[in-house]
Amino acid sequence: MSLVRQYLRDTLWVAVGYFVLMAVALAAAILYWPDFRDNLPSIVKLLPFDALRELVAGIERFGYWAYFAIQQDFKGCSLFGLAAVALFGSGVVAREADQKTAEFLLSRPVSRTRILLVRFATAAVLVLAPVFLTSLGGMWLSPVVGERLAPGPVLAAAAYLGLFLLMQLAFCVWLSAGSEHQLRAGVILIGIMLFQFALYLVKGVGDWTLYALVDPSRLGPIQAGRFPWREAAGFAAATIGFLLLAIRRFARRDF
Amino acid sequence: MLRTVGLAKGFAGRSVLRGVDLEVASGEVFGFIGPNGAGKSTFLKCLVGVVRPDAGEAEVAGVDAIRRPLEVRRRVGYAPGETALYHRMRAGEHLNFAVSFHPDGDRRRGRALLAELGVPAGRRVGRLSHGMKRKLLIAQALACRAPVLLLDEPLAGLDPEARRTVVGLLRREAEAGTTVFLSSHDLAGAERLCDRVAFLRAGRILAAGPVAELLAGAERTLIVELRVDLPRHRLPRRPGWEWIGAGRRWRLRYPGPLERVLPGLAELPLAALRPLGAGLEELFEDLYGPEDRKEQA
Repeated sequence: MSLVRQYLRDTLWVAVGYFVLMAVALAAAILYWPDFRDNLPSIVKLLPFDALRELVAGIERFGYWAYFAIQQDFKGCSLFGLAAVALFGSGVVAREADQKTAEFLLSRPVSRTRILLVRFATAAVLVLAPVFLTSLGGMWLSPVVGERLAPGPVLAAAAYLGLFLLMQLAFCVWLSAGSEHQLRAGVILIGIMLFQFALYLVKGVGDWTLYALVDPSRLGPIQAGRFPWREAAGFAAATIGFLLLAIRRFARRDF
Repeated sequence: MLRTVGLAKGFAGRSVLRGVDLEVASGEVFGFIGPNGAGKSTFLKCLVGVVRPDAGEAEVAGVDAIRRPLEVRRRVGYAPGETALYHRMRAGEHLNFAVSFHPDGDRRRGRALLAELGVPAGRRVGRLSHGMKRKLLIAQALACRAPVLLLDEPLAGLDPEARRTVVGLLRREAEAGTTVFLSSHDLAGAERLCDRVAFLRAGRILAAGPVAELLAGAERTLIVELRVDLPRHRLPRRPGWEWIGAGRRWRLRYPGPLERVLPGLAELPLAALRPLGAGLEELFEDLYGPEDRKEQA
């Protein structure tokens, strides 16, 4: 419990800020839906990349559901979620090294594995709770613009995106376990993900990036009850793999 | 209670500990003395598993510190350097956090110690003076109610009054059977507090033993500085004399009264001659070179 409280002391307000940003961004997007729907053909003409045009084509195909999924899952989670993952994940170990407090913490009778797992679990809750809460909030707000969303697909999409974020979190914790500076671990993760997103926008290469796994081609079918189990299992396996590597790295490190 | 054999550790190809052998008995106050970079903190970190030794054995309170560091940490009250504190926590909160992990941790005792040492429990750690931070670290280590205390520079930054209080506290702990192992720059404090000391330099123990014994040895030692380099065979010899050193700087250990020694040195090209003195400070000066002394100052 002490470990959780001590970790939350540094992260709770950031988590609240992340939740507010997610909620405001989604509410604004939902309220903008009628204008977006009415001006869809003009918006398509303004888009500079084929990848973005394909995203909007997904909206034409799947309707409000695809719009909601892109706003909440593809944009909201990938943008704010990535920032949250970088902030919370990078601090799991590297923050202690950065602040020179590692010696104090590691000289307590608590194992490094427990420290890492407790903090990972806490960070996971901080990252995922806003994803689920804002998704449910979006479902509640949708009738304001004359649309309805079934809770099953909304929660399934949130769970799928949650797994995607958990994989990034575990990777960031692995970076953090070997880094002297918190900033470095966070910047490396954001750099890699931005590079992935830049590639996603390149026609012909985009299908081979991580973002292709969370775009409307995967999220759209969730509405029809077709959950991308194979991809979700891949995210879960990668999460476990990165976590095991992080535990190993942390255990072997001197402070 | 605490034992190491050939404990060695290096960082990036640089040896910090080069085979440290030590044995500390239960209820003993043991001081590890040395200049900055001698390896004192690394040695303490090895004992609690913050740093993994490259070679050697370490045992604390009957537990193998290399293979079971978690078990060792349950039996140790540890006070690292003051930079290791969480500066955004309040002092009382920090104490609770530290103690909460220990099986026999006693928060009430910790609060009482904070009050005794004059540390304001409600103030943020970052706003405490160096001395207050040091006291907080000592209080949390003592509040763990562990059979072994490992303290990194517990007397650094304390004013004379606080130093007296802390020395008294640690002596009381030792009298109650707790083993106290500390590293120190404060030679005067270590002299008052420790039963035995070891001098560490560049990861090696130069001298170790009961304080009284070391000081008695120092009482019959002369520092002899010469105007020219002389090899050992050109130095005068008498029964029981032992020359230690090289070139222009020598130490002479002798038996009997000083008056009998001085005539024997008359033929030497003396630049300076002085007794080693009767304190750890003098012993430290004698054991370490000028660079070490400068660093320590």
